[in-house]
Amino acid sequence: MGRWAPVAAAALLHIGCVGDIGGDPEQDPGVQSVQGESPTSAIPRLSRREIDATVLEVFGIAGAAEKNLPADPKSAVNPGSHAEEEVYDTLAATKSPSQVFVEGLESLAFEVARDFSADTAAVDALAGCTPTGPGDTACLTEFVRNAGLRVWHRPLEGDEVDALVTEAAPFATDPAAAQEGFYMAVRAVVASLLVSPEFVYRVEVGTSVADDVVELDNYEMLAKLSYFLWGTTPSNDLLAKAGGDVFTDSDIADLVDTMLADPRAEKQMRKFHELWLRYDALLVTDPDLAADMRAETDALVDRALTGEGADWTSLMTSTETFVTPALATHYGLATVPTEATWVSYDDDRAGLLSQGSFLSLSETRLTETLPSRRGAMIGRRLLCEVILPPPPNVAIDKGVEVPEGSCKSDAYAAHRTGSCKGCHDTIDGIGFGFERYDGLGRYRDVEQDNASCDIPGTGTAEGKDFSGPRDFATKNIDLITECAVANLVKFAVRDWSPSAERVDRMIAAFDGSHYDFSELVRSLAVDPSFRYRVVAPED
Amino acid sequence: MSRFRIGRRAMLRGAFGTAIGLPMLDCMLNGNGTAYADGTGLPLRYFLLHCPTSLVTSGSTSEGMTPTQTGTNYDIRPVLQPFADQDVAGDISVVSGLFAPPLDAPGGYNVDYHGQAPYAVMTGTRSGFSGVTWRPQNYSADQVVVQRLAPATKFPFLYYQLDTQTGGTTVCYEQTTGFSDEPPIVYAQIEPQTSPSLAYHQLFTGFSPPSDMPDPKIELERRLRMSSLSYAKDRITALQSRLGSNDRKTLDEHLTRIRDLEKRIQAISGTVSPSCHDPMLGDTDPADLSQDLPDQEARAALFIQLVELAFACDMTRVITIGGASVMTGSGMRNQLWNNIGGLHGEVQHTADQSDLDNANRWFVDVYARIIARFKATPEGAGNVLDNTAALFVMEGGKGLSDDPQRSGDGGGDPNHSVDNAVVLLGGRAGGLKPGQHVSLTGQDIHPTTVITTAFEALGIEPTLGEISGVVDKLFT
Repeated sequence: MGRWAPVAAAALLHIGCVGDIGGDPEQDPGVQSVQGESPTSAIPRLSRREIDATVLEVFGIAGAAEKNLPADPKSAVNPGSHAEEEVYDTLAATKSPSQVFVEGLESLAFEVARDFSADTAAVDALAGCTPTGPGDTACLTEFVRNAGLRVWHRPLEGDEVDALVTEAAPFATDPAAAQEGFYMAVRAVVASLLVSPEFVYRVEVGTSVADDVVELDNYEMLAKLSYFLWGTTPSNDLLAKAGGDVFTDSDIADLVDTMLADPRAEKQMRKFHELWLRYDALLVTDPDLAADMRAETDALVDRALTGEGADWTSLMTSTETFVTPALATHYGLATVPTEATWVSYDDDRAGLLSQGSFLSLSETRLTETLPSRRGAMIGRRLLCEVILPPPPNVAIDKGVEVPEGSCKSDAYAAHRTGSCKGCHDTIDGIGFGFERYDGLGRYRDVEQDNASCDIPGTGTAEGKDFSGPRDFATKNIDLITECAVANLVKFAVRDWSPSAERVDRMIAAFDGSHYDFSELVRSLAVDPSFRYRVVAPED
Repeated sequence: MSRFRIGRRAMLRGAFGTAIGLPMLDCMLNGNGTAYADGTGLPLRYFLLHCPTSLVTSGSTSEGMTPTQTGTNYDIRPVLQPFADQDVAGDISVVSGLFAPPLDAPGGYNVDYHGQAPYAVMTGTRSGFSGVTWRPQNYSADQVVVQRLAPATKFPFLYYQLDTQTGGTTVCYEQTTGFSDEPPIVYAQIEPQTSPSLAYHQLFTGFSPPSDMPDPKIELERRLRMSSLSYAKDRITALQSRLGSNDRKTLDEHLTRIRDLEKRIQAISGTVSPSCHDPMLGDTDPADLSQDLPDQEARAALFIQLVELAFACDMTRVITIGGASVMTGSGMRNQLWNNIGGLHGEVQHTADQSDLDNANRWFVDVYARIIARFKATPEGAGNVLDNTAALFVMEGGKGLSDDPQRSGDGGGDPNHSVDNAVVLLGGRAGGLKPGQHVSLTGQDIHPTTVITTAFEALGIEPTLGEISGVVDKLFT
């Protein structure tokens, strides 16, 4: 299990004094911890990925959401900055109930209900009983309770159970359901549970504890933790712990440790890195090369997250990489192994920023690079720089035109004048520092379109000169680390811009753990702010 | 015409009646088979395929699509070769020489080409900044047709997209609520359906062709679906009372979508072509050919089939197919051009003109195959194409001038321009006379004018946003 084993609740020490101090709720550290946060929805909708995971977890059916539901947006206009920003699939604000979504959800419910109810053994297992006949409403009631608990991640109220049984039971005795009998009623139950708002909208109504602040109840908190740490619904074991008194901070720390010890947590944190850096969808056209690049990146991420003595910063600074013979040859590495293995770099490469999976993500012209676009990508994703979109009369999709016979660096330098200068100084400065690596991660020292032009390979980021990925990562590792933390917080809380105070607390915790990513995740989950939500004043 | 028998129960199946109507029989029609016996016209239909490209790459000013000769004996250029392959040259007119200004002017796209030209052409309204972002400023053409024709079909409209990638700029727009610092009502992109499998299930789940004997199992499933939706409505109502205004608004919208879906499940459509049938497609979409390379040919074939049947079964009278969302990453992948890269970044901007011509021919081929399918679908004494206006609209044209008054992004890129644009209009609805090339070069006629000409053919006012008018030659 490596670095994801439970750790004592001492992790709480990272975030200072917590707990119930009684008295004025405004003085409660939990309430204080969310001051400065923006109001968030009480019904954040699950992502397609989370819906898929939940259906698989409860009903054992894979891929239903990917098949039936539209993909979550990868970018959206931030109403705060007015700029189009890359977003996580968890961001609540991007999820409107479009016609395609609602109809897709109904199709998903119809199909999952049909396929699951046909597996009578699985139905009986979830119900915890074997029906005595089509009219066995006692067994149907048990099924409603058990399935409802997992799908809505809370126990259904008595009237909710009764309504569902009343609605579904007649289907068992319908003449057209003679063959399925009891299981046709189960089908109606599953369809109703899945098409209901409590499935796709994770409810966080909570209890008001101060002006404009609510505290989540145990089930709401458990679901929030589970979708952050596992990407899916809580297990029965965890749900069984939610029925008693309100969770204490210590209870929550125990829950978080239990969840972090589960393999689902590792998988979820790998997914976060995919979504942050966006190597989940490579544009590399050669499928074998793309597969090798993906394996290279996965190996590095695993090593940085869970390897022995893992230090997350090695994701950016590692001087070793995992390559197949074909990939090593493609890159032109000095060492070409005879089988897939770790090899040492002997040049200015280091970490993920040297890998084809990342260097190909500048989105266009895969071998010839667009330094401005690559620089903007690295600035936004790695340094969390706010780079506004270009003015409407700029064609960002083509890059700067390089006249026949000219050198690219000269053409870009000539472009960095007037109103273009501000942005291009920033983004070109970063992009040209990576210019010795083409769009497939291969090293070159002369320009692709004009071999008489040397590529200096030097750039500037955050006021510091650098040359190549290793130099960039080494000189900017603090900023990159802070940016990763800010991204994880956004991923977890499903909002555009969590407060700087919350991000600062997490950065301090990460530093204190010597960049153990599991400690960062733990600190975020047990932070008092995680169980509170700010509501809009008019609400 | 004798394939179907009229069964009254097929029409009158109560609240959960079948999703299909009566077959159109000779006895229902006038003597010529061109209208109903009571004089009512046969159903009129609108179709549009949007091609997400220009005529030329960034480095070219010549292309292989626009015919050199006008009239009925125009020359079939290489991009239009599918007209000949599908034997539909006589069923489609080519309108060339169209122009939309990159300016704050009627139907203008206000400089930013990729970001806003589709907004301008598909709405006939100049694009605009909402206070938060650039948005379309009106309903798209399909929504206007829905409002004006108000067809009582199962689906008011269908909107598919050939490519799998979402995001970017798409081509159908509806009204919605603005962000807090926007006007209360703004226009936003409608989400296209990109899954042929899901599109099939939405059309045909619960489908049974007209017959005397309803399938009790299908009826039961329909009741089950309605029951679960009814339950969901109750749950939404219960939940809303515990929420703030913004969240209630979200659930209101969700509730409206559910009600629309209920209507569709219950709906009985009007008359249908004898060729209406369930194509019995599979449960899954065509597998990708390799990573991030969808099997576009197989996907297009399924969408073509669904479009044909949606009209044949009178499930809708308004269909839009987007080719791909504009500016999504490097652009649409297709086996035909995958060795070059994406449709946007590589094929349109850095590849040879012949590569873009090949890509454009692929989109024209999809369009021509749809036209051929409409033509092969019998209706009355003729076919569905006789009662359809079917458009092919492109993102851009061919900028021959560096003049920023005529090309987007300040001029200088032939690709970033809606000048010398081409729109195709197929079908014979309302007296359209297809099979000719009409050149409007030098007249600064807006591409949307061909869309409003289609409106005229459908019997609705030829106005879309700021653009009005009819290309009279298309009726003569």
